[in-house]
Amino acid sequence: MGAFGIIKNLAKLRLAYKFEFFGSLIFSVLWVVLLAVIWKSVFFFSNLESIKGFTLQDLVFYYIIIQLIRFGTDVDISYRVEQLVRYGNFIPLLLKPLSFPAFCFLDDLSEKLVNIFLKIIPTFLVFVILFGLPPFTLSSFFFGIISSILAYLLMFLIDFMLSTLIFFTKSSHGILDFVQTGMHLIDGILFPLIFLPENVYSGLLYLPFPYLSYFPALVFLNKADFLQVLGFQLGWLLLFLPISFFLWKISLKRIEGVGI
Amino acid sequence: MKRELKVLWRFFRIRLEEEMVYRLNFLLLLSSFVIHDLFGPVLTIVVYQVSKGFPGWSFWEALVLQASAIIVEELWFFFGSRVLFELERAIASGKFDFYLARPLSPLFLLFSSSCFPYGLFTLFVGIFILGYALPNLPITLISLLFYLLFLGSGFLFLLSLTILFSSISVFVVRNRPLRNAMFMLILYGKYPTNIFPKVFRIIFTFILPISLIAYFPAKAVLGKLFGVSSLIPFSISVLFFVISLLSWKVAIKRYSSAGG
Repeated sequence: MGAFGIIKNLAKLRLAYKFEFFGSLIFSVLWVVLLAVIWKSVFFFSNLESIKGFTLQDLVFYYIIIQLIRFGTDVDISYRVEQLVRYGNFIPLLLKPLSFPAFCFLDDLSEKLVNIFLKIIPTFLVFVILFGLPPFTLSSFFFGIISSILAYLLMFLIDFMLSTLIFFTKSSHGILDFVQTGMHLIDGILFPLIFLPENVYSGLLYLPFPYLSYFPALVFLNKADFLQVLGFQLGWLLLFLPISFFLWKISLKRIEGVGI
Repeated sequence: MKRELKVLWRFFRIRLEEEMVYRLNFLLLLSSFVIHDLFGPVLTIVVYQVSKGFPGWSFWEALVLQASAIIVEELWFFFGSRVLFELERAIASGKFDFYLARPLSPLFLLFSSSCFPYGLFTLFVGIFILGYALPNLPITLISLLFYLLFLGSGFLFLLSLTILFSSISVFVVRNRPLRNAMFMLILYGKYPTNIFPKVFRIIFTFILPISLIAYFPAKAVLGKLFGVSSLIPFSISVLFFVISLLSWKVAIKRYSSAGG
């Protein structure tokens, strides 16, 4: 079975839980509505036209785009690997004629493909009905998509590296939660990072986290230099790719199981 | 009551021991909950850094609001947040019958057996922020006493909502949407009610009083609630509690176990 066949079968499995998707749709719409209400009151009370280049409309669309990007880039491979190892279902996957990292990638990719049809497009349509069309240009939309794909690959590698921790610790969901929650504090889902004090903001630019959703969202809104963002994203990918393979190799040496 | 406290203490110790089997994991999970608690205060700090903030709330007052939300939410996190999840598992597996057969209130057993020890520790995040903000505000002893009363009513409201949703859960079993709704309501309750449109202000005060989570406690400690009318929100939380208990009684009477 080729890669496409694997993706197709895994996508079918995920479609079994389609009603779960409606829950996340409602959740993200309510989250954006809450943030829109908060910032609307702030803008009116302070009599502001814009904050650091963001009008109220820009901010609302920023949050909408962040939500849509997250549907396409959130990866939970590390949780799945932890469950597989903990309940002893990991070894059979090693015996399959496909490398485990490749399986993880295809598995996650199948989820993202399902997400496009069940999460991203329906949520986008609901947002368009509520807030109107986002201010995309054809080029910013195209560049935004490329930046989001790279953000997904980056996120996948970060999560895959985290997933190898299970082979070194007895229980890894503490560290997974810690990293992921910490990441959300500085990846731009709460507010545009430029709202932070300047020294904090410039420090964050040297970390990979703003390139997971903050900068891709700015690229969509035509508020960031696409080539610069692309350069940083590719740089982080080139750094993380060999580290991921290295971690996977040393993890393999630690795996113990019947028949190995 | 003594017996109930003893049971709760036993369950707390068991849950804590379970969680502390992996010490590092426990500390990291605790840290991730602390970071999660900081989302609201960080957003508030950023809002006040880039604008005049929320209408009718100074910076320190807004911090008191956030601290109150954390305190109420964490109390519920300790005693109530896992109830719906446990109930779903218990009903689906048929173990809910054990709750009904024991010589204690099934509702109390459900709440105490699903207590989540992290909440008692993360409660200190709210207390710390409160201790940081309160010295900058003119607080009286009476307003502090009022504050404790309103924090209690906020907690009572969340307990009532959990009981109400548990009653629904007895019929529908799969309650994930209810759990999501619970978290969304808490999220909306963390911000000043006066920033919402008028219709929602009425709903959030009298029909679904999420204002009790942070808005009214913060108003109480700041001495902004006057006269008998200030007791209306408190009365609503008591009324809500009575209704939720009635709904639970109805649900238990109709519960037919696995045999139908």
